[in-house]
This record gives sequence, structure tokens and C-alpha cells, in this order.
Amino acid sequence: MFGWFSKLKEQGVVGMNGRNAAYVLPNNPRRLYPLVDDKETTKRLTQDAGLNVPEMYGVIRAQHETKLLPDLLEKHDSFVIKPARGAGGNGILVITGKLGSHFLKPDDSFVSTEEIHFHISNILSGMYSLGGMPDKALIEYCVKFDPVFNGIAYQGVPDIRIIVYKGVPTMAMLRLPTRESDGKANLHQGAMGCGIDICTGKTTHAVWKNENHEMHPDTLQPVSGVQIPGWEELLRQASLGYSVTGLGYLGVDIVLDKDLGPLILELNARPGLAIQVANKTGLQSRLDKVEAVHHNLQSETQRVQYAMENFGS
Amino acid sequence: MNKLQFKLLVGILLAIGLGVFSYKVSVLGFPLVPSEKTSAWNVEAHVAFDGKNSPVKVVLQTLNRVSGFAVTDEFFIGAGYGRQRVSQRITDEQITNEAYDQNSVVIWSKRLADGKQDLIYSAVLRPESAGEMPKWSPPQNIPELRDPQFSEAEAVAANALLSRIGKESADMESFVPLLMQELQHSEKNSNAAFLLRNAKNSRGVVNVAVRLLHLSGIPAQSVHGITLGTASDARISHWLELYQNDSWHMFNVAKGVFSTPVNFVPWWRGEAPLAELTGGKHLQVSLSVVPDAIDAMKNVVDRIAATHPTFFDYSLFSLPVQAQATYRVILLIPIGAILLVFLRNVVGFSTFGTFMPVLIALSFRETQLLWGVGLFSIVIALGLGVRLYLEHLKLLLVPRLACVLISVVLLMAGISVVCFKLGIPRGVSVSLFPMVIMSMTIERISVMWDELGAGKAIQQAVGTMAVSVLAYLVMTNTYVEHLFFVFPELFLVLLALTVMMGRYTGYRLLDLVRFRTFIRG
Repeated sequence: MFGWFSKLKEQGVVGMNGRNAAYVLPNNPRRLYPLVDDKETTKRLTQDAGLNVPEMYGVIRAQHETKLLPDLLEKHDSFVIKPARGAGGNGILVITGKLGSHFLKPDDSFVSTEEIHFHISNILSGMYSLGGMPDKALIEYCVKFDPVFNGIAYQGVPDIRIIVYKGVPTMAMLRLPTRESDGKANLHQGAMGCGIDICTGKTTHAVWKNENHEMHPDTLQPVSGVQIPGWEELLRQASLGYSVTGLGYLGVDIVLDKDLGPLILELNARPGLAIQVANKTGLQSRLDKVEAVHHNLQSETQRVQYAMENFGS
Repeated sequence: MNKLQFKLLVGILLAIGLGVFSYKVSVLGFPLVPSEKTSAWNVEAHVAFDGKNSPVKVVLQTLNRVSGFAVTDEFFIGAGYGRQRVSQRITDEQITNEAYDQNSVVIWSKRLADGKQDLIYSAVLRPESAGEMPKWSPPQNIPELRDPQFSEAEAVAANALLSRIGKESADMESFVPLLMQELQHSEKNSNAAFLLRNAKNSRGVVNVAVRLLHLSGIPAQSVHGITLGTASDARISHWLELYQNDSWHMFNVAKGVFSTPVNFVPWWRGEAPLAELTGGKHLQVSLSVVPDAIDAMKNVVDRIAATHPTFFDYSLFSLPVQAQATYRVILLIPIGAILLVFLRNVVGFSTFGTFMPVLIALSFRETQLLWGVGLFSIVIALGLGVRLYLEHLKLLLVPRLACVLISVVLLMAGISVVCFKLGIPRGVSVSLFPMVIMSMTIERISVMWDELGAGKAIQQAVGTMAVSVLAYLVMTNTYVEHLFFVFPELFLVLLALTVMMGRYTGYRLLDLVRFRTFIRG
């Protein structure tokens, strides 16, 4: 068993305790958490700094405000409802279209207005928030995802997760929803994780349920070698996340919109470690490298430059 | 600096903890393991009431005449109270003869008592034959048949009741259980209900039963006492002593059967209550029974009390028995918590809520393990069913939680009643479960069910249950309990270990599973 531990160590895999003790605790002071734990705050913050985020249609802060809902929904054909303090993708309701008085979900099932009301009141009472605190419901632009992923995503929005350490993008992965993950891009729930070469922005290989895979399990299309468009700009956006929040160890979730390009969906102060599995590479050596040089990297451009030169796979 | 401080803290904690521990073991000779035989029991009655700024008198039955036991170390604690011991006849004077067994009572009195009053009676019971629990021995004196002193109307009701039961029974063995059944379910029978109109509690029922037995020609008396065990809230149980065909028969009122009392200590006999109060209100008597912390322990305590008087003044043994019993439980909670830290941070288990498994493990103490797991699973499964149904009604979160809570209470009440009717006494203890914890668990499971699917939710629930069982096994281990109660300084050692675990930044055991592709590759 200790042999196994040393094998992990050799490959520079960062474990849960290691992440918390060496990266999250020292680099992410608690007082900065509200900046990323509340998505409404994050949105305002990032928007002001010139980051691209999905447009917000409205916020529902209290039960009685649901009266405004029909008006709000009238104006838009597709939208996303999410809790402001949700975690792990819980409590997100995606509406892609309308049919009479009913709303269409990505999997072609219908929800009624009443069900949407119920979902929002669940969000408000804190069902999905950390610690069950009362919450807000955000209604925002529903991403029309870029056709570049057409063959390899199943009923949902693929997203790109980038770990940014002290402003330098250190590792990235593409998360592809599968039938099993119910359209969600969460690896725990059965989404497929796909490593991305930081240098080129091309997908490398994919891991699904801890096994190596060449093809997407539902569409049977090969997942490696897909070039992500606008990669350098995407890295710059991710790097900006650090400048805006000040969080030294940060997970940035980005989606690619057909019309709007990369949009930042979420910032995460405690990003998971599955990214190492998707890249088949430990984080440790990359984090060590950044640790050594980050003082010399002053601007986002420099940071992205450094990442693209050093973190190829 | 930070690192030095950390090492220093751990070092100091370990040094103090282990130092005091080894001093107590090697120099003072405290026993490391609990000795198997318990030869003494601490019994304590705590009388509490509110004074009305007037003279008060409290009469409390004491343990002076317990056959088979020697009562030593009797203490009567009541600040500012006058106290006298008197013997009291079992029933009122007119109908007993002089040779009758007598109860021994203590009478506390005070001219002016106002506000909350506390009186404590404590005694140590030692079996007369060393090391063994005395078997049940019958009373010395055979009760004489006496006039039950029923009024005219009562006599009519009593005769009607007795003649009906007489027809349904063949002998005393079948007569007494039937009679007790009628009295305990008096709502079915108007005669019984009339006789019991002034009987407010089970003792009242027993008193009426004794009078009825005398009327029907069976010499009987009631005896009230406690069952020896570990309990911070012991209860008085009632038995009937009947004398027929030259032998004694004991009838267990709570279970409704004839049997031989086991570990039962008779406290007093007859109609009187455990405590009587005049001049005050809100009388409450709480009892506790604790095995006198081991023989060897007692010797050490006695010796050290003589040689190092101040040392022992500040130990847990100097607390009242009831507080000691409570601390025996409280001291187990940190042990469960530390186990949880280990399982979460070093092994990598995830559970519902951080310390939920410790709370669940505590509730297993009330029910025993197998019953606890069974009852918990049943209540949670049924509760989940209710929760799934409520989902259809689209209730808001907090009212829905309240609905689940109400359903849980109803389910538990239902299970208790069904178990009791089936004669399964353990099922009744489900009522001691922390219900809010159960409701929260149900809510968490169902949210997880919605979000991550049934598989993950059940897996998580089973994991939580497994951790609870593990915590229970550690927390109820007699060696663990003994060690931490006798050597509370070991908590400093645990604190040091926890601080060290807090700095453990290596891989968790389950990281091996997560990152198994790296190990294979």
C-alpha cells in the first residue's frame, strides 16, 4: 500500500489534504470566499473587469418576487435558472425553448410554469446552498454552445475547467456531458473528462469513470485532437479571474458560446482534483514551477505566455 | 515559528497527558482495565421542588432495609434542612400488626423555603455475599388478609369486577394477570375505571390491585424498587408479592407476568410514594444507579483520599453520582469525533453532515446496536417514502422539513406501539431517538437522491450508517469508557493526535481509488 502512495507521489498527484493544506488554506483567505460563493457578486465583479459572462436577465431574492417571473420569462425563449450560492452544479435548471405554456428542457422533456416556481422557491429556501442558507435565484442567458463540440457532447453544455495558480493557468480539461451524467458536466455524476494541452488548446485523451477512452460513450466520436477556438484569449480570461478575485488557487469554468465566444460561468475557490485524472498528470510539478516564477509575471499576458511555453503535454 | 509552535503544542500536550497518566498508573496504582466484578452500586435520589416561601416537609423512602444487601455510605444532602430518620409502617396503622416489615424514611424539614430546592440522598449498596448479586429472597412476614376498606359503591364495583375475572380464570396464576390487565386498560371496563378514578399513576393502579387481591382472599402487598444496571435515569418498577399455598409468588406489574426478579432491589413496600412533599410545588425525583467504579478503583480512591487529600478533590469521582453517569456519556463524544476526523481526513470517507454519525451512534446506545440499525433504517425508509410523496405536493422547503419531522414522530410512535403490543420492549426505546437528526438525514438523502441519483444516495447513507456503527463500537467499549473516565488526562493525548491529524497533508486512503489510473500506469 505504501508503494501505491509513493507511486502517486512520484507522479506529483496532489491529494485532497495536500490541496487544502498547501494551496487552498494559504492562498485563499476566507474573506475572499464571498466573492466567488455568491454568483451574483462574481458576475458583477467580473463584468466590471471586462470578463465575458452570460447576461443576467434577472434575480429573484424573495418569495414574493416570483410574481415578476412570468414577465421575465416572457421575454426570453431560452434561459438558465441557478442558485446564487449553489455548489457542484446542483439546482441548475436549463430551459431551451417554449411550447405554449410549457418549457422545454435539453432532454426534450417539459416543465410547467408551476414547476419552475417550485424550483425557484426551493432555491430561495436554501435547498442547494452550502449550509442551507437562504439563497437567491439567478436567471441568465442560456449558452448556445459552439458547434466545435457537436460530435462529442450529449444533451448539455460542455465546459472547460482551468486551474489557475497565482494567475497562471496550470492545467485544463474539457468536461463532456454524457447520457449517464444527465447532461451535467460533473465528473462525479458520470461526465467525461478530457485533458487539454495548455500549449496548443487541443484535447489530448479522455477519461470516463476512471477508465481511458478514445471515443465519447454516447456519440462514439473520437474526443482527442479537437482544437478549442480562441485558446489564448480563453487562457487570458481565466488568468483575469485571479486578478479580479485575488484567490491564489482558483478553478475557472468557461463555456464556449456560438455567438459570444468564451463566457465565464463560475469561479471556484476549492476546485476538485479530477483534472489530474483527465490529464493523466499530477499537478504538483506545475504548481512548483509557478511558485518559483510567479513574482516575475506581472501581467495576464505574461502569465499566459509562461503557461503556454511550459505546460504542454 | 509556526511549525515550532505546532511541535511545541503537540509536545506539551503529549507530555502532560502521558505524564499524568503514567504517574497515576505506576505511582498511584490506578487500574488500567475495568475489573469484571462490580460489587457495589451507587444509588442516588435527587429531589427537586420549588418552595413557596412557607414551611416545607419532604418524606423520602430510603434504602435502609434491603435484604441481601448492606447499605453503606448513606448521605443526606440538603443545605439548611433539619433531618430525621423514622421507620414507617407499610400501610396505615389500623390494619397492620406490629411485627410487620417497616419502611425507613427520611424526613427533611425547613421553616422557610423559597425558590428552587435540591435534596440528595445517596447510598452504596453492597451484596452481603461478596462479589455476587443476591438472589431474590421473600419477605420475612406473611401479610395477613385485611379489610380493603372499600366504600359501598366501590365494593359493588370491585365485586362485579372480581366475579367476572373469576369466571374467566382457573387459579391464581391466571387470575392475577387478568386482573392486572383489566386495571391497566381500565377504559374498557367501567367498574375498573371507577375504582381507579383517583389512581393517577402506575403506583396508584398497583395499590388498587392490592386492595382487590385482599378482597378476593389473596394476601398480597406491593413492593417498589429499582433494577441494578447503569442508568443515569433509573426508574422505579413495581412488583406484587402474593402469598398462597405456603409460598411466595412475585408478579411483575410492568410485564404482566409472574417471574423471579433479577437484579431487583426492593426499596420500599406498601402504598406510600417514593417522596411526599408538603408546603412546596413541582416535586420531581430523579434516580440514578451506577456501578461503583470497580473494586480496585475504590481501594485506590480510598487510599489516595487519605494520603493525597487535595489530589482527589478535583477528579470526576468527586462529582455526584448522577453527574458522573452523565460524564460517562459526554466523555465518549470526543472519542467518536476523533474517530470521525480519522475516517474523513485520513481514510477519506464522506458522510452526511460532519458529526451526524456521532449523534446517531449516541442514539444507538439507547437501543442497542442491532435494534438501533434496524429501527433507524425502517424510520428513514418510511420517512423517505413520505418525503417523496410530499415532493408531489410542491411544498416549500421548511414546511416540508416540518412535515417530515411530524411524520417521523408519528412513525416512531407507531413503531413503538406495534413493538409493545408484540412484546418487543426494545422497539419502545425508539422514542428516545433524536428526531430532528432523523428528519435532517431524510431530507439530505432525498436531496442527494434528486441530484445524484439513488445509487449515490444509498451508498452515502450506508456509509454514514457504517461510520455510526464503528463509532458506536468504539464509544461503548468498556475499556475505552474506563480509560477515559479514570484518566481524563488522556484527552490531552487525543487533542495532540487530533492536532497532528489536522496537519496531515498526505494522501487519503481513498485517494488511491480516485487516482488509480496513476497507479496502474
